[in-house]
Amino acid sequence: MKSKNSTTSMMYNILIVLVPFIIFGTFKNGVYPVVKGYGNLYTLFKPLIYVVVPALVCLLTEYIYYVIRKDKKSFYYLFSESYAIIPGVFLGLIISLNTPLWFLIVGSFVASLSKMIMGGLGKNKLNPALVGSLLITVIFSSLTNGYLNPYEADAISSATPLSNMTATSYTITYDNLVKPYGNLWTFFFGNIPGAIGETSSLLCLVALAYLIVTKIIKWRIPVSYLLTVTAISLIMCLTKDIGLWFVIFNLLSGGLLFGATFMATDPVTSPISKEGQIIGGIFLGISTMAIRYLTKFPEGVLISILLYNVLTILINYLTVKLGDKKIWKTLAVSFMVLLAIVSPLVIGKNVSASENSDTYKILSKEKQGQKTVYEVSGRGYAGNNSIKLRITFTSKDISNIEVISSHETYMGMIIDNNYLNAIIDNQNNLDNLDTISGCTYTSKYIKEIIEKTKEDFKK
Amino acid sequence: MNKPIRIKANNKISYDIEKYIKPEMVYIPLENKSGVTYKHLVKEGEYVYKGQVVAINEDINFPIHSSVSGYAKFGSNKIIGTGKKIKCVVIENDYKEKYQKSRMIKKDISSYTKEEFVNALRENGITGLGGSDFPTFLKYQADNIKYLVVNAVECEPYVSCDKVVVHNYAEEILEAVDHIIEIMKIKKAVIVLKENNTDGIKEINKYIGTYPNIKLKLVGDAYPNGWERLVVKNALGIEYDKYPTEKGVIVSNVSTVYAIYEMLKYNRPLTERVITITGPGIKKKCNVRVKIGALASEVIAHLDGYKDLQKPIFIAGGPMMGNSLPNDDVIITKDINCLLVIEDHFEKNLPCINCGKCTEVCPVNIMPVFIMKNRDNLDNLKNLHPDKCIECGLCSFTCPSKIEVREYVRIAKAKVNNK
Repeated sequence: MKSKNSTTSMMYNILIVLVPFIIFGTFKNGVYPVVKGYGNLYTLFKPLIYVVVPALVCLLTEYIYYVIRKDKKSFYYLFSESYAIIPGVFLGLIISLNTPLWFLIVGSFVASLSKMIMGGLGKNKLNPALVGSLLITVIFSSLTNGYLNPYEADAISSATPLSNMTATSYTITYDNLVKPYGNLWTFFFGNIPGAIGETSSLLCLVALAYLIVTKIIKWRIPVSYLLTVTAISLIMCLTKDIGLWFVIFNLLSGGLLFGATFMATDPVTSPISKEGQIIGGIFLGISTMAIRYLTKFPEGVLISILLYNVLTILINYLTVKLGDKKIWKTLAVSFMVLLAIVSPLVIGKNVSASENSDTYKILSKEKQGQKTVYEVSGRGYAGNNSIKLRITFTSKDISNIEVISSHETYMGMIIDNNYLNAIIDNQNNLDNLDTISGCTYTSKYIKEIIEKTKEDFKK
Repeated sequence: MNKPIRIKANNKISYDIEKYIKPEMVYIPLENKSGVTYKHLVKEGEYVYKGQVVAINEDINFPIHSSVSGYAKFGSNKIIGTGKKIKCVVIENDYKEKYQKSRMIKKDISSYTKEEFVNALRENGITGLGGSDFPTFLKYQADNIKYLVVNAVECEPYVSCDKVVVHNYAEEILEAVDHIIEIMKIKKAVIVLKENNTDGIKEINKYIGTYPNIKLKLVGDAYPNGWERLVVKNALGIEYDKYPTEKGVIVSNVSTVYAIYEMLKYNRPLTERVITITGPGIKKKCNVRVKIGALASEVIAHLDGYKDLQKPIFIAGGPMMGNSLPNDDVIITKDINCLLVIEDHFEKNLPCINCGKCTEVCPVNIMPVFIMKNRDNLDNLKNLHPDKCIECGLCSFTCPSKIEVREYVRIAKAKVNNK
């Protein structure tokens, strides 16, 4: 006698749950910018195309793989028993809209291939969609041109909330992280820059509830994951004097809920035993937060889930070796809980809750008759003291700005756009001088340094 | 411990007990399902009385009786409930139902001592009719028994023979329980029923008022609530290590209790039992009283036969724990409680996707998925304790990839037990 449970219906249930995400992604990244007057017909359907194309590439890859293995399968088989399109759909939802289409095709090919090489459905050790996404958004991130859709690039003209935070040397203030995008409700509904389909926390929560109630996913993983992130942020809040909005910010940003709902719970690549699931979830929470606040990678979810996939192999191995030795399992869980409680001390070490305005320094100040030459340094996109400028005042006005050194990635763009001259031209009206989209932060910081130097000169 | 699972199935069946007690032949297999062999005591061509000992398990001196009278033959091999072909003693029924003279003497039901009672259980071949085929006298031998638990839970879908036994013989069962606890000097007896068996509850409640030492306990309609461990836990809150007798508890199936009643009252050996014949492939679904040793094919033919199914499978036992058999020529032994003919919804096995659902339902908390994956690694298997498996079949039932997980665990269990 067999129950009504079926792998096929589980998989296609997940696919159906993804439909609202695809619609949301199309609306937010396609329809909305077009309505606002950015982009054309292609922009309208771009998100949809970015979901369909990788799905088809994955399907084709598996088909060809089986042909080469001399084990030709029908497309019906690939749909009904190998679920070939699912990694593709996921990949389309977790990458940036600005990824070139050819690169997306390469990424989905690699994703599908990683699944097939490891043995096909049920045997792959890494989540295929994340392997493709690793290639696209981490290894070759310079090809993806940020996360902003055409409307956001113009209207908000800043990066995603988390890269914003990394850019400002982990300065955690409400004004820095939340305000540029609206408020936390904007985060909740998902109208923030990010990957195509993963920004809406509301949809994620509904999907999570549905998948847990229908027992399609292992509930212990997302629950322990989210609880760990909550706990770590809470401890950071308390020790670093940050407002409680930070907890919600951490939960709602960086595709965390999407990853917790769909990626971490992929049955094939997640731990089987109950303790293993909890350990895996806590590990995910710690590593996500550690990657966010300790490394240059702003988005920790993707990498930590891949690390957790590797950890799953170990967890499953240990589950077999330990058998029914309950004490060890309890010890392992307690150890992870302890680690989660201690980890904020390390994770929070770079974090500061106030703007680092005092990094501005006047290095030298020389008066040569009419001219006054300042050498100053200040913070930039790449961190404190990343920008050094030589500013020359002739009589009362700035006559020349020269870059002594900088660690800024986009300083070239500033020079190319003649931005320094634009500053000189608008020096009495700097507030109304627009920043350059693409290097918003660098231009903003240069303006800041100039303003401060001007104040000093007026004294 | 994982929670029992509610399994939905169309269980509608009449409460009447049909009778088919005139089989042409009766087969007595010389090996039971656990591999215990019996030595035959009758010769080829010898006349056998009803109730005469045909074969005996020499280790514990436990007999099997003929359920009809007639002449004995040898050499026929038939399958038993496990699907294994076993050599049988065949008795050609002469329909005279002749008892041996000694069987005609009846003893007063209340005059047994404990020793006499245990002896009678052995001599009359009473075994657990719930499906264990475990000789009942071995349980009642134990000393310091405090509780008797009557298991009428019958949690497998489709199976309903215990339900109709309770419905039809509630008074007799209570009487038997009362005598057993008097003979065994037991303080308290608990009859455990499923809470949705409203009819059985009603019947028991009619008579239970006169027996102050017998209590009724209800459990939920979920599988495997009829598992001995869970029954004892639910009835008395007692957990035990290996056998319930270590904690002073005896568990008997309700059909066994009825067999004990017939033994006490009429000095009858166990030669008949009630089985359920049901499933979408059966024309007349019913509970039927049959001779032990009759052929299933003959009984079903007598009950209007089969419906046409596309791909029928024939199962001896319930749908969860039973075995599917190649044909219906199976001997109805004491441990068979149900014959089931259902459509074989054969669904292709998909690869295991590590969903872990089998570990979430397993009542003994082992991990079937890991046992399946480590089936060739004996060291790992020992860690995973497949020997704890009670073969309830929930892992196979719940598997979304339709893998017969239980079969892997069963093989692993044999491997570990043999080393």
